[in-house]
Amino acid sequence: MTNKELIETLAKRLDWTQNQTADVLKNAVDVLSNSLSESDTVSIQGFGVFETKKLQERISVNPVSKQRFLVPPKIAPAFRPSQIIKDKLKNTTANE
Amino acid sequence: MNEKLTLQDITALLAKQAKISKKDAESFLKELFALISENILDNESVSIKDFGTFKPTLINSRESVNVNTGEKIRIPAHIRLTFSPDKALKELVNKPFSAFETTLLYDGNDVLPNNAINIEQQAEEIVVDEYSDDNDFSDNEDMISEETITNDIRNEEPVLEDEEQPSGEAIEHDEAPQEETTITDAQSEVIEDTLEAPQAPATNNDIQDAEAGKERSPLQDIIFESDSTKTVITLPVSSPAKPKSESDKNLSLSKEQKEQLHDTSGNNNPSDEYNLSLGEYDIKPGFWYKVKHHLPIILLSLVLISGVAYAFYRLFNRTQHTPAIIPTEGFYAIPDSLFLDSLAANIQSASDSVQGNIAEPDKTPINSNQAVLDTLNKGGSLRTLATKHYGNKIFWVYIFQENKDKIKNPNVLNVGTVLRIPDLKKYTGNQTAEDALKQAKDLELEIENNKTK
Repeated sequence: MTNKELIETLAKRLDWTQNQTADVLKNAVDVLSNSLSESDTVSIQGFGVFETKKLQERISVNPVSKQRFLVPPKIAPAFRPSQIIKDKLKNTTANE
Repeated sequence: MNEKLTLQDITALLAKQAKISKKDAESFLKELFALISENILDNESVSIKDFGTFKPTLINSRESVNVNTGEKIRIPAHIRLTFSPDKALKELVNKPFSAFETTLLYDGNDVLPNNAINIEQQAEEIVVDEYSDDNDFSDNEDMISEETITNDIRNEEPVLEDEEQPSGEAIEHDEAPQEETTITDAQSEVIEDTLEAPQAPATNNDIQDAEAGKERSPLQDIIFESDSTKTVITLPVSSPAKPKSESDKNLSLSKEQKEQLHDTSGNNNPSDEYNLSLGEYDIKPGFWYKVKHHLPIILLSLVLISGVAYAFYRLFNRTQHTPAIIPTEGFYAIPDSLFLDSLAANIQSASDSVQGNIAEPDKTPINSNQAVLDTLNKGGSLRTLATKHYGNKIFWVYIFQENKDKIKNPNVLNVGTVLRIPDLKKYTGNQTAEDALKQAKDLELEIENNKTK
């Protein structure tokens, strides 16, 4: 589902205009991104947790040229689905 | 910083930012996440612009071990929900470390890929472990590798979306004048779809690769759409320091899409682009690299050489300059060449301090018979004179004998006394060395005995 489809469906469900929902979606994304950029964790009940992880620097190799290079340390955003979602997914697999 | 935010907090922030009521914000967010969940459960991925993509992935059943009991367990096939953040989000979150760039290493090791890839995953795993909440044991490892894979792929996609629209428009102008906005939109959507379609088989490959513990290059996924080559590369997404290659990729991609628009067979020559983008990594060690690399060895050898040279220098110089006056047992011996001067000097000083015998006029020339004159200096003795002239102090007795008129008592000597140093032969004759020594010793005893009498 693309961004556009998402906006369409949301607008329909909420009975808002597409422009409105697009705008609010953008704002929502901003809010989430900003909290992540401040290394806050955001937990949505029944959905999951958005958090940041710190990755250490590591040495890896370009397998073609065998050139070793150093990947610097970084902070990366991550998402962990909640148990509810996981169970639901399990059930859908079971049903298939 | 490091706060825990709930849905309520987000609602409040959203209401503030979007200038909508709290109720609206709340219903929006609720609906949003509900919608995402629905799609996930329908096995459909949801991508949000500048945020990321939620994707359900089928994980095959695999054998594993129960950590507690150690017995073998079979993990059943299941669907895992993954989230791959968009480039914008990644950059925003990584802002504190944004100055870092991946750097090439020149330490002379050539590590083969097998080890490298495992090390990589292990490194990430270290950080990930504390967050594991699954019952599955090695889930995290796969999750991260998958995330990064899907990450990278998804990163490229929106980038392409953004960038291909302008290039799409450019091509449009060249081709034929058409109404821009709607048609280019439609075209970009078509491009999107064609991108997605070949992606589908590619992503299945991804899954398998992820399972096998390998990573695929994001570049390859895009460029080799029609191929299914599985060369494994761990290239990071291209950094801003290499804008040239990036633009090259984009050009080549837009050409590809153009081809796809017109005919479905995408027989590009990926090897060229591939070499272009990877050529940057193919750096052969130059001269200065070798110098830098061997620097410690070079420094060490320089130090050694200079040490040896210094030793030689010292040795060389030593043989050249005049040897210092080598003192004999008596520190106050004077070389024969200087004794006349010293005699004169000593006579001067002696005349001030001497209590008795005063030296005779000293300008007597040296007899060829070697009847030498010498003075007693402060701290000197008959023995020292003997050592100096005869080489053995025992022969002081003859000096004493020779100068009996000046010296009454061999133990009482005055500074400045000029003594005649006789030729040894006068007293010893042609005795052997042993006999001469013996005679001298006897004489010594005699003198001593005489004194005590």
